[in-house]
Amino acid sequence: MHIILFAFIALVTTLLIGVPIPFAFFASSIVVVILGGYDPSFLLPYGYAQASSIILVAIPLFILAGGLMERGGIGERLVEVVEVLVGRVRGGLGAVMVISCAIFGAISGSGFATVSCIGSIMLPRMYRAGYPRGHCSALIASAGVLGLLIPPSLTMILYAWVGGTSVLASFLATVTPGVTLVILFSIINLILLRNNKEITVTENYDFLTTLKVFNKKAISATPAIIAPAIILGGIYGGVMTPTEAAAMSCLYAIPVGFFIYKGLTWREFYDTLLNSVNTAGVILIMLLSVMVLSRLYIMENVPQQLMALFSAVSDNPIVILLMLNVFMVLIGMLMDDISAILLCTPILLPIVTQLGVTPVQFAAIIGVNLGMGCITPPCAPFLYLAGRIGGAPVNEMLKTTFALIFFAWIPTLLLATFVPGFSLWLPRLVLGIQ
Amino acid sequence: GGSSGDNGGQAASDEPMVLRLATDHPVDHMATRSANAIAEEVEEKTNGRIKINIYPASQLGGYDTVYEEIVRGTIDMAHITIPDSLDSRLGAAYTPYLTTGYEEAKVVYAPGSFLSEKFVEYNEALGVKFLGFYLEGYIGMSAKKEPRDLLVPGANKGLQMRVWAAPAAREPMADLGYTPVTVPYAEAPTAIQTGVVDGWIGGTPNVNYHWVGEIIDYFWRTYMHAESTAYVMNQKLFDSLSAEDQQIILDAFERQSKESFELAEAEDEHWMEQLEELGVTVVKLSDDEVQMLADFVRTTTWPKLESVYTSELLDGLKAQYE
Amino acid sequence: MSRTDIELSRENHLFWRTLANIQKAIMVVTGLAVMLIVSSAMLLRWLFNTDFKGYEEILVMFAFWLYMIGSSYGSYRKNQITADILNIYLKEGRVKSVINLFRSFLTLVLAAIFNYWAYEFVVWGFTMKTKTPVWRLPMVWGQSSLLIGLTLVTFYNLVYFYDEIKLTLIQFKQGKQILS
Ligand code: NA
Ligand code: NA
Repeated sequence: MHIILFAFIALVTTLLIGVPIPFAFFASSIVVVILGGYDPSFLLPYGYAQASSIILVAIPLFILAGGLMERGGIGERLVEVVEVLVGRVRGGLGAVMVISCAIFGAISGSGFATVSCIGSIMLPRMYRAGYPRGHCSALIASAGVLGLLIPPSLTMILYAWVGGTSVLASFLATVTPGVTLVILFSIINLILLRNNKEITVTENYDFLTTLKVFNKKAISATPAIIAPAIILGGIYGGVMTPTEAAAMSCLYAIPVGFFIYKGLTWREFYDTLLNSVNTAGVILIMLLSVMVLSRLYIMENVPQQLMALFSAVSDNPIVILLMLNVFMVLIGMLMDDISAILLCTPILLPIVTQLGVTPVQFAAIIGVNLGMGCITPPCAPFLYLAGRIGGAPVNEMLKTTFALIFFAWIPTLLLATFVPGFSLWLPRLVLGIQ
Repeated sequence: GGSSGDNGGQAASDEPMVLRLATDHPVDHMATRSANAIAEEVEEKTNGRIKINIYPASQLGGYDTVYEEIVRGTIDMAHITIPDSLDSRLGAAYTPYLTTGYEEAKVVYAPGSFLSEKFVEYNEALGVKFLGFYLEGYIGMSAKKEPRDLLVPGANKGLQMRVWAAPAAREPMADLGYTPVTVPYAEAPTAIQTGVVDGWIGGTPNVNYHWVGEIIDYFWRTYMHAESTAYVMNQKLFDSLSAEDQQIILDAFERQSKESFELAEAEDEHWMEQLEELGVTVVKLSDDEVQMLADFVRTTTWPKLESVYTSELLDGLKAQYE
Repeated sequence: MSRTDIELSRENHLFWRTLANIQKAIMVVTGLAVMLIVSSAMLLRWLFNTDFKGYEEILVMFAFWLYMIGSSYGSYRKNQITADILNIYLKEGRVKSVINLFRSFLTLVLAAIFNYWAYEFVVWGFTMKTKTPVWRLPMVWGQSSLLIGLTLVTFYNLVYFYDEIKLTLIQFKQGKQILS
């Protein structure tokens, strides 16, 4: 037990002083190697073998596809269509932003891209209409997480890979929680802004005019709307694997960006390619170091020891599941979603399966929990990114953030944890799994 | 913890030597029962001098890396499919139609058989002690729809089939008229469910039941590949043991190896019945049909495998049929 | 001299620039290669009902070069994923610069150890001559990306550690002037 304690201390200390997360994982591994007297020669070969999977190749490709669609102008067309539909109530632009995030999430594999794409399109418009900065920035930070809860999702690809479960089933498990969050975010947004007199509301069109405007916008947005259809239709229609869908969506985004929306130039294409490879690289080196660490954790029986620790407090599965969620919330406060999912999956999955939670349901639990982790300080990458894009200091964002955590995130998390059907009905329906 | 490979052989008399046994098999698989039996037998007969910790379900990694770790000595023992990455001849245990049924398998994979002797030799060259084959049953073929002309070798079957990435799986399937597609094992069920592929080869009836049972509509027992996994151990560690302990270990593994030959058929039958209960149509090819397919694969596919397995090994295997 | 001064003065160094350009070239080539290999495999299967035999072996090699050079580029650009709590909650000053120095040192040491493991891994690959199942390609073709990538990571961390030493010294000199 003392080995694990020291390993955890090493992890947290290195994280806190700002050592890059892959090296923090690595520091923790070294502590286990030294204290446990392991011969480390097998660790890197093990990590390499685990990471040599075709499924993981989807990561650079989905990042690239998301980047190309963001720069190519697809995000903007999507926002415009949604705006015609729900933009005309007090606080309506907030709902537009949330729904746009969900739709963009069906193209993009990452929440980060969703925050930066939809945020940079929507926030200036909202400010012009008199929306409060802190509120809008907090809202986009939470809504950006939809980028990873609505498939495709890099986070879920990594979860499925580390947990040895199906990528497609994990994708589907987070859809209902994602949609629930869309609804709750929109409602909370409307409630918080209901008395705000500074917001100007665009004139209400009559039904016919709305239909006309919608038609016009929808036609220009068609190539953008087709993108999620290609990706999700392709994977669930049996034409391609997730990795192939990622590659095909790149191939689709290139001509659309260059010739239809004309948002792409060669320079932009080159930059996007470079940035995507860069991002994929920093994720994959983390995967490599976490594989090394989790292999050592398995040899040290960490899941069993953690389970014993939880069971000592209570043997009631409901209480244990609550404690697991608290554990993940704490991890989510320390690191970003991808690092956290890589760390938590190998340790916690064996525990929850003992409690009768299937790996597919756990995809929803861990997705919602660590998705929320993206906006819980101190380590809250989405909150900071949104604050930077929206020009809002973190303290102005706190009120809305807490409202969203207590009235949207936590209820959804509890549903995902204690009502299996909540997340499982869709994978059951589409994939016929038990 | 601590790598037992480092202090092997000099364990103090009161401290038990703890060995790690890694397996590829789920906890409720017959192989795990065997692993438990081995651990019990070894601990009892050595009076607690040697204790075996079992890491089932590929907890320590897939068979490729586990085998490499046996070579290094960072894992002590394993029950795995021996990979062909270090020596291509080690893929030969999965030669298609090397055997055509349980009775033949009992002979071909038995301790002391031509193949076993060769495996002892090849493994020893890599620093691995080969402790015997373990017959888990026969890998079947399963799919959501029926192939065209199942019994006409070479005719286009109109089926895209997931195969594992090895010539022993891909070549015979291509020769028979299927389109082999490589999909990772973890994605096989969803690939079949969504229709990326129509079916797959790669699992015994047991694996089919647990992994794709709800998805497939047909299962064919073709006897093409015996699921012939193996017991292996780090050679240096083995050599460091006293002659008495070596014998105890050899006996324990051989007992389970031999027992697997007796259990495999019943195991397959049991899970084929379970598949039928799920509504899967289980097709058991007749002896003549199996023989016909085997003859085709042996004449058409085997020459292509010669460069991989070497003619020395393949000729030796052929000699068993002549 | 500030952090940006130090960085700018190096930007134009021929070796520094060439190294970055080589990385960029590898990133572009592997990025495009991965995209084209995957999509052609899919199109071959879908349109022509044939399988691009053993393509995954080649794909994974390209992918690993993509990952490792992408990651080393992350060290060059200082955008490896961090928890970044300190930088947000700590004010500029001596304490922060000492912690920066320590972090930089620790990262360097960890990268160097990681790098050494990669070296041993590749040496093992050369001695054992491990090969891929279908094309029997030497596995070291892909594995060596680990050694090259981590060597670059170590190199960049070494350079940046040197920067931190300079900056800490400046910080302390300034501090003394203010105090005296
Ligand atoms: Na997404
Ligand atoms: Na957080």
